[in-house]
Amino acid sequence: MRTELPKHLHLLALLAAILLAACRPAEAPLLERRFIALGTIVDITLFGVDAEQADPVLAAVERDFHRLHHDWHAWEDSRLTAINTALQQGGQAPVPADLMAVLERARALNRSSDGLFEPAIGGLMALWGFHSNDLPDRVPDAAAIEAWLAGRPRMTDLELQDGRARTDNPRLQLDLGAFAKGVAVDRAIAALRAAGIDNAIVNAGGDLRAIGARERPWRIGIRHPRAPGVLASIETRGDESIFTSGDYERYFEAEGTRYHHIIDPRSGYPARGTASLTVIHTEAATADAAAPALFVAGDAWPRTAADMGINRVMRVRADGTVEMTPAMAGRIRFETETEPAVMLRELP
Amino acid sequence: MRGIRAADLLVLVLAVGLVGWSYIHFWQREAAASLEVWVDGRHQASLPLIESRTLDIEGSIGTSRIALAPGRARFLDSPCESKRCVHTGWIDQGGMVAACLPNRVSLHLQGRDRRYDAINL
Repeated sequence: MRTELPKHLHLLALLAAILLAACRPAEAPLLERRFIALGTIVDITLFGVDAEQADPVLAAVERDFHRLHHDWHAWEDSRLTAINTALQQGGQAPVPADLMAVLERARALNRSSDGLFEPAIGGLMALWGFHSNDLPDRVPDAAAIEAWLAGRPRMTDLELQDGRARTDNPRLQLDLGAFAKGVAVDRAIAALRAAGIDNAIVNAGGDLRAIGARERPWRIGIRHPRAPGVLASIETRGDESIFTSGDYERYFEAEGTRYHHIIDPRSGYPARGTASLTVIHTEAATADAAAPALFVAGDAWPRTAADMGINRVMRVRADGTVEMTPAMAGRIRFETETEPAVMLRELP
Repeated sequence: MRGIRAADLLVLVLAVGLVGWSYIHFWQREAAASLEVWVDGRHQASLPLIESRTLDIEGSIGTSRIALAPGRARFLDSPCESKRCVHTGWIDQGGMVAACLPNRVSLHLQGRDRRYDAINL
């Protein structure tokens, strides 16, 4: 027996090795920061940085988000509501330089979307009751919506010059809505990069921009619009923003009909026909304007996508079928047990 | 060196069996999702989602009552007006979030080996 001991030790070592192989490799540590701003939860995930290096820039990013929250809030007292009040009362308002840059950007995206991304829609959003932390419980009077449509304000009615905003349309009320989130996400990514951080996700309430990777590509789940859980996943490459507009995000039901917050500026009512619409684009601000614009465009979304320079789009129609651009189809991996029916749509 | 004997074979079989058992035992235990509770930007607790129970969380404006169950969690009540957190219902996949923003309480599900780094909502 004694002479065989070393061999058994050998086997023991083999056993230990096999056991070790059964263990999962420890995942590399991720650094996470989480706070509430712009009416949502902001999650920042970093890979390959230590807390000491990241803390100052993370604190600065958080301050920036809070500042933007106070600048751009559509219904709580903010610099934007001050501008809206001044526009309503006198048709003009001074605009600080940084907000001016954002409004100019929003106006350009409004043009390229042929008015489907419409930040001048604030009055209509308030009419619907979406300018509240609570959800509305009734549909506005048809007459009130008609009246808004009759004098329908457009972003192109807004003149931006010499640090001032002017308009002849007294109904023009700005609502940067989710667009503020996109701009904030871009600013956060720029700040992280300037601090030497190359692998990060900045996630503002589910809409996000990811740069670099972890020990594998960043993997993003796309929420299923009609079931709990994830419909599909995307692995990001390099520097990409993924934004989804869905009819499940903010909605109320009245007399058996769902009224969601993505209002079609042409009809004055929630856009129909789409359950969710996902875009991939480099810049978050552009993606943030494109997702609702394409949602509102309905069946005509490929035209709007082409006009806005977006070529990776997935649309889940209200009937559950999926439409995708060929460029998106190469990126999507369905995570459901049965794959949905998919129709490829080329951009014009 | 002699050839492999019956006892060696037995050890090998045991080893392979142990690997299989440990795989199922440890992997499955890790697979049970856990819940992170955050209050006002601070990580308050990480809780395994193994058995059903309720829990009270002190937030900024009052107490949020949450339910934990195997593999899922939800808000039962919160001192907010809209109760959007309660209407969110159960969250059951890693990366999913339920939040009561007025009370600054959020629930974040951690799935098995963190399959998704983020969920596009």
